[in-house]
Amino acid sequence: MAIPVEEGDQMSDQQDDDAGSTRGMRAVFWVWMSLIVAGLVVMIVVPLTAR
Amino acid sequence: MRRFIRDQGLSVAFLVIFVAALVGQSFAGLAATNEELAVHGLPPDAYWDFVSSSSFLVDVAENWQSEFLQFFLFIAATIWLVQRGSPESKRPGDEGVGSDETQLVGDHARPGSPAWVRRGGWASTVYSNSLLLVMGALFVSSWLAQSLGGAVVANEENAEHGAPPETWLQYVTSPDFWNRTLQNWQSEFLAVGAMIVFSIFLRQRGSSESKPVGAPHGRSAEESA
Repeated sequence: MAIPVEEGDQMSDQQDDDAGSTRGMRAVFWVWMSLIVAGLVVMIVVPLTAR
Repeated sequence: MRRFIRDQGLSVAFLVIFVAALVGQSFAGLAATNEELAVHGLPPDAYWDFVSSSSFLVDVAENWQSEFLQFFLFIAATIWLVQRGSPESKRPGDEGVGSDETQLVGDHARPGSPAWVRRGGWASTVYSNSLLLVMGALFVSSWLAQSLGGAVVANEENAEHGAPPETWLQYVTSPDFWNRTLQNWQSEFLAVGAMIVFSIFLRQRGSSESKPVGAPHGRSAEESA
């Protein structure tokens, strides 16, 4: 009975790893995208509002 | 946290050096501007005034647009053009957008495929080109930013010299705009071309940008394993 439990644990660890990695990948994606879009908005708005 | 740094190390490292370089650029740019102001007997700019000025932002934007153009063109060109032996290229004969089977779209989508691919239809078509579309949009936006900031700076200089102001359209057809644009483009095209060609015969052990050290020169990326 020990083997199925270990396999289950390994599967659970793997799923936790995958979920953590997916969250991390989404985090870096949105950090980069937000940074770039915010930068572009600033670089477009500032000259448009310059006197 | 350790696992996050291990898994996302490449993007985090480049984020850190990007921010450091941008901050460095702002201080160096302020120092250069204030040197020039001192020569003309004018008071120095404050840091915040400088980083929110069009003269700083146009310098940032003109480099951004050329980088996004570089990747936009590289992504588009590598659909249809190949370079035998380069790890940056598909192998000769694989030109084109690929079949649904190789691209895992349509009936070949898998349970783990992105949601927009499994949905099919227009969503799958848009997602199939999303990298190129985003890079293109970022290029156009940053080029627009460069033109707007450049026009403001040009008009500040015109005012200092008693010259009449330029419209945005006059500025984007001016030598200054195209000088700023093309000096960035040429360096990007040079770097991409050099990377494509040098990676045929040169290697960096352990880098995903290189073929394995012992791979034959004539093999492209997908053949190297």
